[in-house]
Amino acid sequence: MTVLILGLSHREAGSEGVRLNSSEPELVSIRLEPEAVELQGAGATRRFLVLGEFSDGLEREVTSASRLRIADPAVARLGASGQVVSVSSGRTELRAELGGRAAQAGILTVGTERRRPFSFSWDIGGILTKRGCNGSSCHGGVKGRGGFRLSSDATDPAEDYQWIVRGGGYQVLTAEPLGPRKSRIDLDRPEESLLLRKPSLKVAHGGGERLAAGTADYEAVFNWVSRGAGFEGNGEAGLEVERVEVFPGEAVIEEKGKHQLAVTAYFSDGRQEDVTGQVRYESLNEEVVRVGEEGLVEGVGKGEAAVMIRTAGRAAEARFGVIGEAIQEYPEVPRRNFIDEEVFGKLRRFHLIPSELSEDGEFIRRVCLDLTGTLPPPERVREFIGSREEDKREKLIEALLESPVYVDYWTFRFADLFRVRGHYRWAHVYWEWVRKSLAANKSYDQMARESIAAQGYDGPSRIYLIDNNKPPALERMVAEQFRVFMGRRMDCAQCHNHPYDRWTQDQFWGLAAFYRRVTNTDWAFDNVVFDDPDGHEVNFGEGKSTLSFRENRHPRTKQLVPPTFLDGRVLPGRDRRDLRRELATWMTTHPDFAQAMVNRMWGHFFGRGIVDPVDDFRLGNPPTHPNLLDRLARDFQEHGYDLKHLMRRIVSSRTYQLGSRPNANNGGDRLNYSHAYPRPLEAEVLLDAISTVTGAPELYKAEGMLSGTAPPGTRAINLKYPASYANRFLEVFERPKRDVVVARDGKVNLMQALHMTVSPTYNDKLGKQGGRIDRLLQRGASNREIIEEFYLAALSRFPTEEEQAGLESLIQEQSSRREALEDLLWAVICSREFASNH
Amino acid sequence: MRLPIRALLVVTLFLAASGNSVSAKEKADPRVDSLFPLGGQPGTSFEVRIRGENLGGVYGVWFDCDALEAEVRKIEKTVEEVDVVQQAGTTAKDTKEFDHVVLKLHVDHKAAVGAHTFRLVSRQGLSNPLALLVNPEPQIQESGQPINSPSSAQHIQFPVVVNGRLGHPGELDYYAFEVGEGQHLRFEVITSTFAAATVAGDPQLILYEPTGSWFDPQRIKRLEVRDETGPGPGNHQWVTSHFLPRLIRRFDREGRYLAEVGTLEGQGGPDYSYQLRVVPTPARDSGANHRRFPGDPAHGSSPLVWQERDFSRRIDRDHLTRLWSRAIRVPEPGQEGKTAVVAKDATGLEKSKRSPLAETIDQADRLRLPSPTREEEPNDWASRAPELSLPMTVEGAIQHPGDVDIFRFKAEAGQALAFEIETPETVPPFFNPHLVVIDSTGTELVSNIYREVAGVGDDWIKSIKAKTVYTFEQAGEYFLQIRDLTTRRAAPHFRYRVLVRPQVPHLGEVGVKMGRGEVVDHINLRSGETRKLTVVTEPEEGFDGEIALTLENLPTGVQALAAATTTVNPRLLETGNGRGAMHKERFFPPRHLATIVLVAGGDAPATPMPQRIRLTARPIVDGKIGKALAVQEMLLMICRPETEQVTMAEGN
Repeated sequence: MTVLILGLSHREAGSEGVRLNSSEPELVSIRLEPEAVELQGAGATRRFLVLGEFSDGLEREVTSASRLRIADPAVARLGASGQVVSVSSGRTELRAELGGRAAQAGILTVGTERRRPFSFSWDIGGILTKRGCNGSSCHGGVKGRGGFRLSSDATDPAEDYQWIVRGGGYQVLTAEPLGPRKSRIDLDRPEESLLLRKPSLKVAHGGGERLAAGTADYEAVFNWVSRGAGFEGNGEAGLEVERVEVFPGEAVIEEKGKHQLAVTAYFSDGRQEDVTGQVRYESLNEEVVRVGEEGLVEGVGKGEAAVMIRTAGRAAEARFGVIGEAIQEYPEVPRRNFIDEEVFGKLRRFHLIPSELSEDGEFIRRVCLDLTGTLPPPERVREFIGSREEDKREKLIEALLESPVYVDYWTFRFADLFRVRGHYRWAHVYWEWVRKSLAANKSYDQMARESIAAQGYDGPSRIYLIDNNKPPALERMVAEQFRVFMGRRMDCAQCHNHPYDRWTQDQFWGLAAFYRRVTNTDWAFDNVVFDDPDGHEVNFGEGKSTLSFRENRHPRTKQLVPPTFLDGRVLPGRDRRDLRRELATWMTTHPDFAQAMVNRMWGHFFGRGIVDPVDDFRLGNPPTHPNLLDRLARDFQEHGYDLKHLMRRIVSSRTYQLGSRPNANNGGDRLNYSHAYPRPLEAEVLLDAISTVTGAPELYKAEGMLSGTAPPGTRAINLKYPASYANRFLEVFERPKRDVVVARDGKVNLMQALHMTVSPTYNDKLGKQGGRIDRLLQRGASNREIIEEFYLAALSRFPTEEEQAGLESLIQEQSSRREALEDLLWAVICSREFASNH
Repeated sequence: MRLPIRALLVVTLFLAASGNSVSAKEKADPRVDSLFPLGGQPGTSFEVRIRGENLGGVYGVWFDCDALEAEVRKIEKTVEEVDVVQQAGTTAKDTKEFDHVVLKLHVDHKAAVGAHTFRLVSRQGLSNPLALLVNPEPQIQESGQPINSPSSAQHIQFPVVVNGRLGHPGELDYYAFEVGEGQHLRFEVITSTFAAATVAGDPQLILYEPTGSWFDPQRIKRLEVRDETGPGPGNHQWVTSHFLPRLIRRFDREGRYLAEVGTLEGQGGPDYSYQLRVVPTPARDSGANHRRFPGDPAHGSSPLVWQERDFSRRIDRDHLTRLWSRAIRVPEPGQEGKTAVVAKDATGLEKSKRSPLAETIDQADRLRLPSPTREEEPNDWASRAPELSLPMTVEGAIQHPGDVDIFRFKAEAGQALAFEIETPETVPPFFNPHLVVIDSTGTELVSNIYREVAGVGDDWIKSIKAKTVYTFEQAGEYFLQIRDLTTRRAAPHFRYRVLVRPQVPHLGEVGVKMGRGEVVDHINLRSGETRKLTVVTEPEEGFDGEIALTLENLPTGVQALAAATTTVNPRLLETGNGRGAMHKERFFPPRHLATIVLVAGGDAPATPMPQRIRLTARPIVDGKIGKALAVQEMLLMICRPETEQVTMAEGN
């Protein structure tokens, strides 16, 4: 039966306060978030926020200024912090009023006779997390503090319980406690428990006061000890916290504007609890937003930042854009696909106006470099700019995707990703596999499966031999393949639970078990990679003929770890015949797999990933556009992990095709793709571009025993692996050696500047016989024609009239026309406009 | 038996001697590095240019058959700039003198197709061998014009063999051809000199279609590249396998296509000769040609070469007969059924422990193996494994991923068995047969994976072997399991033939060898000179008798003397690398060394042509000498570098 009784709220709010002064926008309407809730169990709580829509188009959080009332206090009441608390089963309504505006939200309470059972994991773990006791800089660090270690953010409550109740000093390399065990609680005299005395500073505590006596959290811990310090309450199984959600997930505030967060924990029985005041908040950029202990966010400076919310074993984030001024008249921006919907939708919410569509010259250069690593020829640029076809951009994209240069370029990119290196014969067959895969547009999940589960003598199997002709250490294989294919860095977890993420040492070694059988035959050129139940074997006997099998033992517990997926599922014994194939199947069907690749691709086309760095998905590094990431990943998956489809989807979007010139509104934006961000060219692409523009191909000569020379005209992107041909330019511009997972940061260094000035790469090419300058002079081209040719070849645009006139005059002033042209071309290829894709 | 080997000598050159004293250079053996073209068609004559060192005194050519003839036309010297690799790994320029010998060569129309061995004969002796390739297809040479770009490609019509050369580093040669829709063509590239892979580089063949691209209308589109490793051409020892580009392609569209020949790392120079063979073929290769390489020897392997552990050796019904012919004795008429073995087996068991089966097959009339048993799927489980009696030969194929073939047999306590594997079509590293014997509890007793500590560091490196031996401790039922080493590699041409037989103590491989175990195939001996030869013998499967060695057919004035030696090259005694091994005795026999000294008397006359000498071995047990076994032939030349003129002669 539903009983609706109107009651008074705990807080009275007047109708004023919605406009601080006459210049400020007016309140148009208010709404309650959430619009309705179902509260299960006794004492179930939920926090409501009042959001007001104002005349400037901005929605502001106005809860504290609003009057809140519960219709039937016998069903629910307002708690001390303003949250709704269930009282008895029934239905009622929450009403909010502000400035003559009102809003209602429905409340259904059920099962109010059931109290939530105590849970050490949630109740004590939550306090330890909120108070920062188990933070990575305190007891949650790798070694803990003062011999007392807790799992980071209470991710391993069972182990935390042992260290608290049974005591003992933590050791990194063994599960055995250091020294005699002494409990950190005192059941007879709870107040004497070390767990309370230390954080309340009754004894010295390096971490300062964390749990002052008399606070609710202190009392909660005290009561837990008093009641016998059980892991679960009254023998009941503890409820699982299924997820923690924060509202808003994304919001815009003004500088000095405020927004309250509402954090809700969802339990496995359907119960909800407002935990806004029981979690730890952290601003990931305090120059943009600050956040208080109770979840009140305040805008500091313009920009965008995430607020991390951490509680026992769970985390969430809220993203805030801090704007200077709301835009009332937001322009209509055309949208071509869901990428634009997501990006432009957020730009609208964040009051950022995207730049205009790129000019044709800008677009042709950008898309050619991004899809093929190659500058468009001047005649193609002229043709494209001059074309009046409406679909010329789409046609160009298709032409590029079908071009052999597309295969050249993406072979180079994937050779980086898959680390093609090692003995030249192996690098060759490995490189050929990458190339054939891309030429055939093999689906990416198939490429990944072939790589992860590679066996035999084929190209992909060489990944397991690129380090000293033998399979790398187990931990290296796990870390690398997880980073490449899943976008996650698990390296830290090989030695200890990851301090900044959820990965545990157990998870790491559970994955490592999938690789433990990898080994190979022979030591000559014909090595065969296979899985031997005995694994790869190493003689640890210093030359003695002792045999030690490579075993997958947990380095701390020394226990053999079975193949275990990240979700804790142990691979059944019957499925262990082909471990890496099982792992490959699991990895390539996991949602992270598609996300990792679309994010990597996004990073390629936009200069930064939706998660950035592109292979560093983790709790403290949330995506800027989570919905976009999800939709891209889903689209990629639905289209059979087709790389060309993914690229086509991205470069066809208006977002990709925006101009790089910022407008008055979006100049400070570096996260939301309101305009194209210039990106430095990769070393190989830059060298190829210089060779193309000067008309002087680079000559690559191998050193040492091989003493070969790459065929004339070979481009840097076509060199199979870095060790094949030494090249000073490529070294200075930081061509990766592929010794480790490649991360090109594109940072400029002094050597590069010096190289531009004095190196033969620049100077010899300018004066090269038969080069572009030579050909133009022989053709009798005028200075005007030559300048135009330089611009089209290097920058894919015509010079402006001002540039043309200025440069012509400069050339005429010089005594040697040839030298003047060389100087001009040098200036062009040293320019930032040339060395970047924009 | 008369070997089909004949040397032909046509003396055309008279060289001025530098005096009676023999300089160090004149003592150096002649060395040939390369030839161009690499071969020809039967029934044709053509010029061949050979490049090498110390070829100043060349006056003739030795071939492995009489279907080839040559005439020395010209000898030239060049001084060339070469890259010298320094200790730091960098290269420096230097100059070096090379000799070029021009031959007029005739290939008789009866000449066998394949790689023929030839050597140059000079006053300094006999050169190292090179392979001359005889192909049935018409032969042409690379155009004299540059063909180093798609637009300047040389037009060819198939079937054809093109002889070309990558004359300088970075050179690519392009050939254009027209095909009809649906046509299949087979392409092969072979090079000649592969004494060390890094000297000649690995050839590469890429097919292109001149499609053009948005960027460049002249751009060609890569269609296919396929390289395989395989043995080098001819019947010689190679340091390692190398890339042999060969592919069969079906052309979906008619039109003009391109073949590009280059090397993997852009090597090139005067020694980088190659042959490109393009022939129509009915359909895509189903694997039947996996075994055949374009440089396979024209005359097959030497019958004297005994291969104990090669996956490609033939295990046929006469295999036991051949094995017994290398035992202490072959059963004589009237002696059948007697134990022919007086030895411990490989695991040290006394003869009394030997299986009666060994006694049984001692009988000459039972030496032939029974017909092979072909596997019948499904036989992936022990319960479905067919039971076979020993000795047994089973044949099958690992046809689908995860395929495991299991056979059942009974062995007695103390029974010493040998397990031999042949891969008739596809050899490692493509098909890697993994043989395991398990007992009725599923415990692995023996496999053909051998482990030893090798490489950098202390890693245990594994390799699969074509033969292993094992002595069963208990009588019972056992299972032979065969699969690919990987869990997924499979194909119809992954065929195997496995022989399980009682061990036969016999003389294994015997050879005159050098430092790392390379077989000595020719000796140049000057008058008055001595040469120490190290003979390595490998007693197999418990053979513990003595071996009497003889060198036969020595030229006049040359003696072979037994010698004691104070220095033993440890490398020649090594089996495995000695740093640590698991069950080495199951995979390698012990090695014994003997030293023979060849002495050429001061008055030993020069042999204008090499003389074939033969090493024979006779096993001796309990004072009884066994049958003579020819184990190796070598070419011997007695040289007199100071001789001013060489007269025409003919070899054997």
